[in-house]
Amino acid sequence: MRTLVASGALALILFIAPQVASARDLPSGGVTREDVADWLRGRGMTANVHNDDRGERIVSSNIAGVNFDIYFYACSQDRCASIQYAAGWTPLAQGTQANINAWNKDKRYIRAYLDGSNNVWGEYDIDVSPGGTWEQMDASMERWRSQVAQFKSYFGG
Amino acid sequence: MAMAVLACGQAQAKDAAREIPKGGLTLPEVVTWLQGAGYKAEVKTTKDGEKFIGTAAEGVNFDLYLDDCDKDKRCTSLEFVAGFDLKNGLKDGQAKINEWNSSKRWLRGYVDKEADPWCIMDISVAPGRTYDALDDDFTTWRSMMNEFKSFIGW
Repeated sequence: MRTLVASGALALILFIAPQVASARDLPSGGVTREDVADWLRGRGMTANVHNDDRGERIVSSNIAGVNFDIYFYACSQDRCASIQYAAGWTPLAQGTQANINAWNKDKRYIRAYLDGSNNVWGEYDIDVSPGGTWEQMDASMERWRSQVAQFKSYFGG
Repeated sequence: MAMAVLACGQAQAKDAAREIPKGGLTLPEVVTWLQGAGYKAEVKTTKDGEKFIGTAAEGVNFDLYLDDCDKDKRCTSLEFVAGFDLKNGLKDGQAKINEWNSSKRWLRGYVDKEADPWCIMDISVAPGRTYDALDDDFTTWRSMMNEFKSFIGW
């Protein structure tokens, strides 16, 4: 859009350009569950907004053959300043405490842990407000896609 | 009308100034950002020749690595890393650090061969991010590092 700037149109462009930029900005305060569900569907992914088993409102989806959930944090009313991608597996032979520790030492982005039932979990936190954009959200999903695929392979999920 | 155009233009310039370049940040830009926020930033080199930044906050020395860099040395992600040399290592080592990883956000922890605890936070700085967002991430790092210190009994 900015490359279309032409002489004589400067005043008009000064108004248009910020609107173009803000079209990619996330709303002030972050995202709602519905925003995220719409964004996922826009990417051709599934999105199910529902309550988890603790009654927390989450969005569930699937990527790279892995079911995952998106949790919402730092919320004011329905709008949330940070989100978390989370995926879990029932106990895995390679999901040992030593391997979990090695993942957290050597790999990036995803925090790995074992829960009380030795289920293997991987979580990735991102901040989406202030200063968040949909471009950032897209990049985070690509990051999650590649990292969670590695995670699955690493632990034999 | 002229004033409205001017105000609109100024807002655009201000926003643009806070945007991080699409390709990410260079090491000198990260140094400038840190120093501008009032923190020290010492450029160091690993034994493998990788440049990184040594800095400190909350009474803790930590390092900042730049990753996912292009040919112009512009990098789309940063990694904050802090290690804690405990006299006898972290009691219950891997099990204790798993407790952190299962109950906290943002920082992933691990223990090294001496059972000393480390914490790491990875963030993306591009595309689609701003210095405001980077400032916010840095606040999160400092806050969570304080929690980590308490958790390990530092």
